[in-house]
Amino acid sequence: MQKRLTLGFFFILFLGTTFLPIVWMFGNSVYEEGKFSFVYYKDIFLTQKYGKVISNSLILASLTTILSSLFGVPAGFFLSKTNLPLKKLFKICFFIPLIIPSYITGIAWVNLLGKTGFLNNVFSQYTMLSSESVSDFIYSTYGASFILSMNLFPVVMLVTEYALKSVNPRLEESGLVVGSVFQVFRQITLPLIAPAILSGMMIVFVLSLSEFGVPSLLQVNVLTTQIFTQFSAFYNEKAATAIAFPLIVITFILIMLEKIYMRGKSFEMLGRTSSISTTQYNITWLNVVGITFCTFVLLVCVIIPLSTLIFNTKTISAYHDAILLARNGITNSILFGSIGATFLTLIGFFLGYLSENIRSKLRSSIAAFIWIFFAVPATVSGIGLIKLWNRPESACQFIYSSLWIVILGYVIRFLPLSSRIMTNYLKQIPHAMEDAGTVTGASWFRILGKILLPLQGYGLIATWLISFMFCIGELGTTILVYPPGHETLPIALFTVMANSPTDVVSALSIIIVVMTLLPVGVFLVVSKYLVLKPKLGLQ
Amino acid sequence: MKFIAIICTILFMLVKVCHAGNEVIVYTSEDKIFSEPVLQAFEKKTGIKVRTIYDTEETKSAGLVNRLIAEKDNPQADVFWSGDPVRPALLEFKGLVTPYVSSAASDIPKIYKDEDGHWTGFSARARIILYNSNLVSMDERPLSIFDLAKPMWRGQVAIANPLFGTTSIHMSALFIILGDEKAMKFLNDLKANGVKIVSSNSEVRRLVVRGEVKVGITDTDDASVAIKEGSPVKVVFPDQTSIGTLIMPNMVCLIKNSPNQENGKKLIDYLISAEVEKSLAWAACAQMPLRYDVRTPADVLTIDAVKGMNVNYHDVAKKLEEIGEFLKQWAGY
Amino acid sequence: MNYPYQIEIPECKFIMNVLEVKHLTKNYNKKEIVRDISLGVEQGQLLALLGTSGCGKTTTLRMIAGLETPDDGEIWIEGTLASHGRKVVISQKQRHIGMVFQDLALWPHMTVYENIEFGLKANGLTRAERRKKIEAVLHKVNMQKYTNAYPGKLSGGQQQLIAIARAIITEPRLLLMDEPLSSIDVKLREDIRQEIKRIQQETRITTVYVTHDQEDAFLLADKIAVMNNGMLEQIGIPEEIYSSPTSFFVASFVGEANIMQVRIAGKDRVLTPWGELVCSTKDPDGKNAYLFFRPHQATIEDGGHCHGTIINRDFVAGVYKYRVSTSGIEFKLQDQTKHDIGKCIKFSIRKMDILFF
Repeated sequence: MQKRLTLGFFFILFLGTTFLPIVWMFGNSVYEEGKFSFVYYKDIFLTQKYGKVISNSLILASLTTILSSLFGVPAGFFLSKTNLPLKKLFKICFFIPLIIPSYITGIAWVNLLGKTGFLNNVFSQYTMLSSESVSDFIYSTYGASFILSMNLFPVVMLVTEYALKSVNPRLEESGLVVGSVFQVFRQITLPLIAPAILSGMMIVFVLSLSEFGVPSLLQVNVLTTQIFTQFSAFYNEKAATAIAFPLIVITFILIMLEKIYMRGKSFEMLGRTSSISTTQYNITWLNVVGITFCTFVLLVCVIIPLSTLIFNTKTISAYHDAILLARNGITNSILFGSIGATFLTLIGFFLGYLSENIRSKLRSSIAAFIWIFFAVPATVSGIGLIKLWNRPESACQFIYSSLWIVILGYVIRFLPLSSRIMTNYLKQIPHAMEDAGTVTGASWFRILGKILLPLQGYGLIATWLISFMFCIGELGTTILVYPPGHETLPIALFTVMANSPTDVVSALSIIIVVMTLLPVGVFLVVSKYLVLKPKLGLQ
Repeated sequence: MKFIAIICTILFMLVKVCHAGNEVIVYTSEDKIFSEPVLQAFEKKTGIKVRTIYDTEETKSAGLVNRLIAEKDNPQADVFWSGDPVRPALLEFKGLVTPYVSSAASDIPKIYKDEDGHWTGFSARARIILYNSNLVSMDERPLSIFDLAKPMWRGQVAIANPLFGTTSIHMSALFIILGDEKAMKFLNDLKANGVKIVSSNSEVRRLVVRGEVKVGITDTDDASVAIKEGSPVKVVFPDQTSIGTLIMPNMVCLIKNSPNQENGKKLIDYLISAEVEKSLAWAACAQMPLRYDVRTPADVLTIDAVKGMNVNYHDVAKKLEEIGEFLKQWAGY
Repeated sequence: MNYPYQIEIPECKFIMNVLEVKHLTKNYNKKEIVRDISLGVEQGQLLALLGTSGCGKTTTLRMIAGLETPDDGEIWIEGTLASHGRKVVISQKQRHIGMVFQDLALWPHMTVYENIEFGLKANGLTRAERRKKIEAVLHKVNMQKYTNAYPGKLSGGQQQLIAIARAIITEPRLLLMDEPLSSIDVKLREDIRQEIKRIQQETRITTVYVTHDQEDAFLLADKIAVMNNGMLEQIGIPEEIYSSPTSFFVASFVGEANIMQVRIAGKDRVLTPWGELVCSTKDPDGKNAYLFFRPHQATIEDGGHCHGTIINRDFVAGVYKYRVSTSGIEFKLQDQTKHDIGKCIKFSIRKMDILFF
């Protein structure tokens, strides 16, 4: 009973916070002048007008996914399977691209590869490429996916790293007896972690599909920029919502494809049931390759954009000015980010639990159902939130004019993500752990508090951190709903970006990076303690 | 259950309780670094607490205007201070604005305010041509925007996406002054001449500063930021001998059925005062006062030194709605 | 009841079944996992549910525990109806059942003490009472030394004992064990099995023990229920299951056996590959008659009335085990003496049965 009530409560919470505003928007978009009308959808599905846009979107998302896997999978491999020197440092640094707002990375690269940019000059002098072609490259779909993949590869990396750590080492050892490291990786390890990697790629795909900043900067014509045009040039929220529909359709198709691929595949092999150790390769050439690769990725994805920022700040006083501008934003971001991450983790846990434990038939549908909402663009969610919560009733006003509306914005944007991550962690814990508690006759809350949550310690913290990072960077929805005096860091950055001196803007970006990195650093320090603690270890 | 209750209590304690006291809520798309000091000065002067949502015109006021429209049924904002002269008129069309004729506006020239008081202008920017002085000599510089369709500027002109922001206003004004046919021809010529359409005015500025293009069409505030940073760029006020330069004042309007009407009016009175015009002229954004008698720094032109385009902003807003589809196609969207 | 360690068996003539299962059925995705199972366990007895993996025995156990809801059938515990059809009458919390899981499911983040204490806390005992009980149960399983260890630090066998201790600490009416020995290596298995037997007999907890290992079943059980394909094939005391199987599956699954289809030639006469043999046939007209004998029931001797060619030979535990073929039909024999592969031998069957399935 407790269990049902709790799960029901959180599912209703999900419906209320995420489902309702978005469905409201879509409902609204088929309702024109008092009757049903698919006028906005006709344009999209029955004319050629949007064919090019949709294909552009698909190209952008697919390329980004492929590129970030090319960066992320090897990086994850080297960081978890070899004994690279400075491994910890690499690990922390590889978080940075995820934190720097993508449009900032975008500007850094455009400056480098634009016609008069430093790298452009290098290329046009020392290679066959003309200055024009390099500049054209960066202002294209390909350039946009290049920049985006550098921002998003840590997602694939993290997933790969985690999956590799969960592979039962016996499986690899049995291969190593007869084959080379390369062969074992290709024929044993890779197929084993393929579902996990795919899941990471899926996240990247949807994130890049709904990305607005970079395509807008580079004037790439994709669905998100079209949505933006409808919103800000024509103030037509219905048309904008309608254009968001293909995003959801694409995501839905993707989920179906994933389901077909996963059919009959089991994760059992991955379960950390037999041991918590991981096969580590300690081979010189592999280490050399690893360090070269990681340094390269570090250079391209972290050092170049970051040093452009640092180089632009020039003076210490810029930091002073930036902090003055963002003072309010810093405290707000930390406060909202932590509350948001806590809620996301909590609701994510129960939703993940729900979709893992529900009767087998519904299981995958619930997870898929939740995941679809991840593709909804920030603007659509934001307007939906306003429509739902901006009402004269005092309860609504209480939420709408306080930090809660910002938290709701975070929840609506990232709940699908946090519940997906949580689901993956929940898969690692055998059901018998809970059953063993149930048969003692203990109440579900006790089982929850004493067994389920403690066992998920690591997963909860990881989900919290990832949610925190995403929350701190959220702009699209927050800017539509934040009450006066509640601006967050990205909003501070965004509102001063245009006409403030470049050095202050760069300093502000650096402040964001440092601030977001702090909890990650703290976690990595704490995780040492957490890793020591499993003297326990799962049997 | 207990622990959920405890968590809820703690979280509720975090809520900043917003007093519905002596306050005014303003949404502004004027850049925060320029608007904040003005609003603080108002707060100090009147003791009315100003609570502000900032956005920036550079990024097309997307957030604010959509938010205002979405909040229509239960307005939160009292005053909308727009960095451009057209969005208030758009809001007027959508029935979000209530008229207020301020006595402080009496000495503001007629063309910069609505007769019925739906919106009132102050401190203006202008639409200018920015050129890179390293690549373009004083003699070569284009004096008219129509020069930009000439072969010598092939592939060397940048302009922001004409669907958004001040660029869209500029286009709409051109359509009114030239008539649809001529305006379309000019735009098509520009396109044939390889004009670069970029995301925003500051992006135009960036390209000109870095010399990726020689000239660009942008706003005075972007130009003055570039000049203050010491970039090799110079400004031309185009078409001084013909149609004139587009002047774009800030505009302020009172939102219908907002919670603090009286305070909102006070804020409007203050914003359109000579005092604010002066402070905005002396700030880094270097905006032109609309009053002739406000003293400006040496590098800020006064309104009488520039020949303005003779357009009514109400018409501009209306025209903008008509030409949206054309501009969308023109920009390749 | 002054349970668990000194038990007084009430003197009653009618021994009630602690657990009574009637017509239990369970479907997954339209596939019948458990079909119409009925069985009963008496007070203090150990019933082994024996069957190959995937035969539905674990599902049956989980339904008894209340972890799964049956689709049909009844479960009675100590004379009270616990579940009826799809309706759960007594929730699993009130069933008062102890359970040992296949992979033990010891909570890795708790010490041995905390693991055992978990189930006690709901009972409203004071801290001192709990400590006393836990110490007693740890003493019972000889694990006092490890009170504050984490499960991850214990060996498989030790974990096993802790899992049992955890299951019996609440003095359950019924103890369910799901393949508890499957993850323990063979050498240790024997010891743990003896421990389980000792603990079960001392505490006289009524137990249902799921296993795929015949040895476990025969050594521990008072009664064995053989399951196959979701159905109950036979239930009875071990001797019965061994010597008079009632189905082809039980005959072939339990112990080593030779089963071959034969034809009834007349009263007490059957037609075998070796010609007509004399054997009591209970049902002279029955179809599907099978000749059934175990390898040790045949002797290889020169005067034997049967013959065959040795095709394989293994030496196991002091005995030679042979595979012998007679005109394409293979069967198993055993002997103390060594014969060469390929040799033609004669043997006689000392005891055989004709079974009808």
